[in-house]
Amino acid sequence: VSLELRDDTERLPPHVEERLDQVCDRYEAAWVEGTAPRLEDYLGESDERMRSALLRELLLLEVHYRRKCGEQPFPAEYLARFPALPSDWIDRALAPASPARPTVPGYEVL
Amino acid sequence: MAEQSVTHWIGQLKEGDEKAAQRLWEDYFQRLVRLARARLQGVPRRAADEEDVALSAFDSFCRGVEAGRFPRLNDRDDLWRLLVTLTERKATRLRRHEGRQKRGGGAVLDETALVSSDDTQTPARGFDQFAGHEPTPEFAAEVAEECARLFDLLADTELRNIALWKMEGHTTEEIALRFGRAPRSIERKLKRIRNLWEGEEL
Repeated sequence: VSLELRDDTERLPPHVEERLDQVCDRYEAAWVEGTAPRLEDYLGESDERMRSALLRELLLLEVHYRRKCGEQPFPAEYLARFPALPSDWIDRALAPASPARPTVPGYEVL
Repeated sequence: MAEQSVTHWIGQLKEGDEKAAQRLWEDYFQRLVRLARARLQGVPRRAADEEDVALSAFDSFCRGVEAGRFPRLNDRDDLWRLLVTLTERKATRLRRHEGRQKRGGGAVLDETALVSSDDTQTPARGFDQFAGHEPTPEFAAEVAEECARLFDLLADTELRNIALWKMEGHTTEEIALRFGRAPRSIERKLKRIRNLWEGEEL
């Protein structure tokens, strides 16, 4: 999957933010149901404006649920899957209990 | 003086001794929320349920306090601080608007929560209650009204419930556990709530 990722931190408009939230909800629901959904399948629903933020949100969810399933995801895997994502962001996204949190455009990672 | 606004006061608290600031914050908010809760309980219910939801938020806060859970001054997700800030801004805008409409009328704003009746010339004057960190019943009433309005903006039941749990003082992890979600999802939804509330202000 080749993704053109915008490197901005603009705040998403409310209707875009709502759509992003809904896609994330469906993705998470699939994990909770135990179907191990494919992240890339959910990116197809997004337009360019929310794609970057959505990818990062879905990735954070995937990492959470993979770990919950006992897996140990590694940065190299995500770098290969999503080469357009900055490697330092991926490192922080996968760092266990790291004080430095990854950023998501339009969001504040707490 | 503008420096007496609660928003500024909170900013000053955050710069000071963390433990002392947190104690002042807790004391102030405990009083404010109880005043607002009493105010809501004394108001006849309207057809819409927004006031009931707001009352639930205040009840939640009181339960949280009884359980030793207070909003953290350094919690960027805290909805109570946002509620107070939005209320204060709204009151200030209202005062300025009325000041423009009735320029020179010294007694124009004496019924508003945040304004002293003896001075309408200085912007943001009238936050005298914050000098001693004592919320007035009038300001609490404003907060209660604003809380009801903001909850009414949350059409999504899940967003309302997450906001209520947050206002009760639960952590993101606790809320995530309660709703069977990833902590990141709770953070995302709290961000949406904040954006919805802040966006409505514009």
